[in-house]
Amino acid sequence: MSEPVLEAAGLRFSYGRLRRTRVFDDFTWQVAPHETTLLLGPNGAGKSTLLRLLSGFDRPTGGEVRVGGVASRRELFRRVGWMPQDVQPGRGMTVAEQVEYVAWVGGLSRRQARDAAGEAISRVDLDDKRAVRTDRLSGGQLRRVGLAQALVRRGDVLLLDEPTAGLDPAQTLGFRALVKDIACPGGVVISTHQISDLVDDVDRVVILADGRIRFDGTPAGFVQQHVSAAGGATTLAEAFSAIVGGGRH
Amino acid sequence: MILWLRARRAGWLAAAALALVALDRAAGELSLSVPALFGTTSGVVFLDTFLPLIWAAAIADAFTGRGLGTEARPALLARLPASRLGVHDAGLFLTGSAAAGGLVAGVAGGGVHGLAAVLMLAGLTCAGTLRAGPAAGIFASTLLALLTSVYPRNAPAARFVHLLQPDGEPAWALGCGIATCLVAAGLLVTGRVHVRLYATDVGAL
Amino acid sequence: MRAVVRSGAAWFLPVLFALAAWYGARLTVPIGYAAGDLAQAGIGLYVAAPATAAFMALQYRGFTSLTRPLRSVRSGLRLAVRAWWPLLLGAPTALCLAVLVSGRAVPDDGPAWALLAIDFLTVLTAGLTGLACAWAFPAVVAVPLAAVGWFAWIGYGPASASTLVHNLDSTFGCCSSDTRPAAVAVQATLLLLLVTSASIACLLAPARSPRIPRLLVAVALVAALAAGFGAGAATLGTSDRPLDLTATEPRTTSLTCRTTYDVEVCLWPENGDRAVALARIVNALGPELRLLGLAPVHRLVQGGPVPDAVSVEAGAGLSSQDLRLGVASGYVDARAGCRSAPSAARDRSVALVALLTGLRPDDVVPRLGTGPVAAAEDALALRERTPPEVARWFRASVAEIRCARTR
Repeated sequence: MSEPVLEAAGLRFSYGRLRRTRVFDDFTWQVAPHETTLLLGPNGAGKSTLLRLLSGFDRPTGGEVRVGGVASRRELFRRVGWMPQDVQPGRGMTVAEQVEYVAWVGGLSRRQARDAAGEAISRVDLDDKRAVRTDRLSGGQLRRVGLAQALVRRGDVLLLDEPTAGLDPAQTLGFRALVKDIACPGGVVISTHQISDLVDDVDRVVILADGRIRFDGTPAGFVQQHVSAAGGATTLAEAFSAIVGGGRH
Repeated sequence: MILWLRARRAGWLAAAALALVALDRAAGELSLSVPALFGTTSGVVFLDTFLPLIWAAAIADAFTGRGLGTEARPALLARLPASRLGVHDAGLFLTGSAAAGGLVAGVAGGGVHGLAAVLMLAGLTCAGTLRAGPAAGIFASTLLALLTSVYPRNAPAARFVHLLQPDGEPAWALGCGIATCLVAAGLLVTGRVHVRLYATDVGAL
Repeated sequence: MRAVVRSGAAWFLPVLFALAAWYGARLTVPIGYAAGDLAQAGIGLYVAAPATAAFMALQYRGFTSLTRPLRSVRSGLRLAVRAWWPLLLGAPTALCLAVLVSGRAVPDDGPAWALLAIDFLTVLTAGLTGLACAWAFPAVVAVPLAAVGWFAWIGYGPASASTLVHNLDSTFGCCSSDTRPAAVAVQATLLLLLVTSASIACLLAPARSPRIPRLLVAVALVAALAAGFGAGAATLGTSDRPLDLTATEPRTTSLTCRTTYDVEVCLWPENGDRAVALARIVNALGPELRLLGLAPVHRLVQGGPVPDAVSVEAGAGLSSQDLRLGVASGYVDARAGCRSAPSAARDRSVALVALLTGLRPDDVVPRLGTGPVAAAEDALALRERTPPEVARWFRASVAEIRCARTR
């Protein structure tokens, strides 16, 4: 494996009153370059927290997140694109305006922001919706806006948090195709708790439960190791449950 | 820049400032009769004590978007010194509040205490909005206006408690107003904003 | 218990109680008449009603969206009451307790209970208004609107010039020992508050469409207030009973009379224990007046001027010096034939009689000033040689007195 662009080293994170709820303790992980990674885990496994830490949104209580070997939040912001679970429509803004505004706030000049927004909107296939207000878009279209916002800074790594949650099957298929087409040199990480999502489209599967990695390998390896062998499981869902359940009990 | 002004509802801010001045000129001298224990001079509270809440409400509304929606991720940069968002927001807040206060002081004849009241309520609302949300910010300002209005004239340190009332100590009120605004501007620049990570949505980049 | 914590009542109500009780205690000078003491202590309304309205508006924000899925099967009012009963009922109760504590009185007649009911309903209506405002407007508008609206409603100055508005004012400007809240004003105010509360409750009640426009709610809220105001105004308008501007009427409780030292003293029942002290003062004053050739006092009556009697005050908070000065004032009023307006002539006449009751000049100066007391002392210096001169001086002073304007 070549040098990772994004890595978590000895990460610790807790939240809540007096930070009593511990999510990660000495967590180490690397995002492989040029790979699309599926981050699987049950609700509350820490997937979204991990993505927020990797994107620099949250500060770890210990350890560090490095991008290109440098532990800098400014660098994280510059080089890591992040799409959260819920994408909010801007105040009366059109698709083009919202994406351009996010680029401008991020530090690009007005002209650069406009160009980058146009390019990002094209990449997510929303050209025909440029002039539509974002509060009038469907859920799937709004997620595409979120993806455009994540792409607009042309980062090296792309983190997508539950990108298909709440989408209907047709929208999910469309989104899968879109993600397949997006190439980031530093890699793409997609978190989900739905085992059937995207598993065929990715290079790597990571299963996270209780803040620890339960499985890290290729989809084929996952199928081979757990569907046919582990605990008599015969489906992906049963294998996933066996891994996660085994980790819990 | 224009998109940012739209996101901050600059039009509403301007309308609020004009409404504040117009109402202050038209109805600022309307008095509310209160028991002799309260009030400024003879048991009255003037309506202009409460009018700066119009500007405060506009400020709360303008900065509601910070930390939420599309700006959440970009706002992270604001934690680093002199970010674009922080500097622009602080500039808008300070110049807007100074202008609104100046109009009240000059055009509406509110004098120093009018300026101080606008700055005080704007600063408190902005800081409250950034730390705990817009509703909490405007609630804090409303309570301040209410409690200082009914703080008894003969109670200890009444001149210093009557920050928004004409019988308060003007220099002290103005000092408090400026200090509160600077604190709020500092919060805007340093980006120590309230972000509801777990309860509500956050935006993206 | 969970609702108490979640609604914010756990910290808000103690603060509200403390504030209202503090204000009440600062203003209240107990007079012993429950309605009067409770009316004075009701000053806490100036804080309690606006603060409750603002806090309800703050807490209710977003609640409509939160409960939207339940609205088809549960009434909105039921949801609101289940979630906010600690504030809706707690805030009025906290104010009433504060009024009782700071007024140090327990209602013992209709008017006193009516005042307490008005206090309760005012804060309840304020809370409901806060809910409706938070429903109709964004929180940044609803919170200040609800608070300032209620503060203005209670304290709107020009209301004192309008019989209608002032009589619907929740604070009345009530009551001294000899006045009580006018029954028709009580009815009008209660009706106003009841209709407004009921209208807002009806507004919240149905399981309605979640798409109801805010503007419609705002219009309905204004209609509710207008309906309440109209009901109150109609009550006043159709009443055949006269109202004065302070919304009070003479108290009709019978005075309790007893004769001590040949002096008949008629006082309100709650001040009965002051009769002996007043009779002693009058008894001691008699020889002094006779010496000067002035008419002695045989009858004292608490409250307004009564023919052939001296009007006195005998409230629970008055000291023995206050009682003596009250007798002196009443004596001068009786000689003048009316309740006299403040003037130099009145002050020096009162000072003379006050000195005759045994008060020292030092006791009188703080109340009447140096000039009148010095003039009275000069006049009394003639008492030993030419008592009729003193009487002439007194009569001349009384002749200069003008009557106070009565409303």
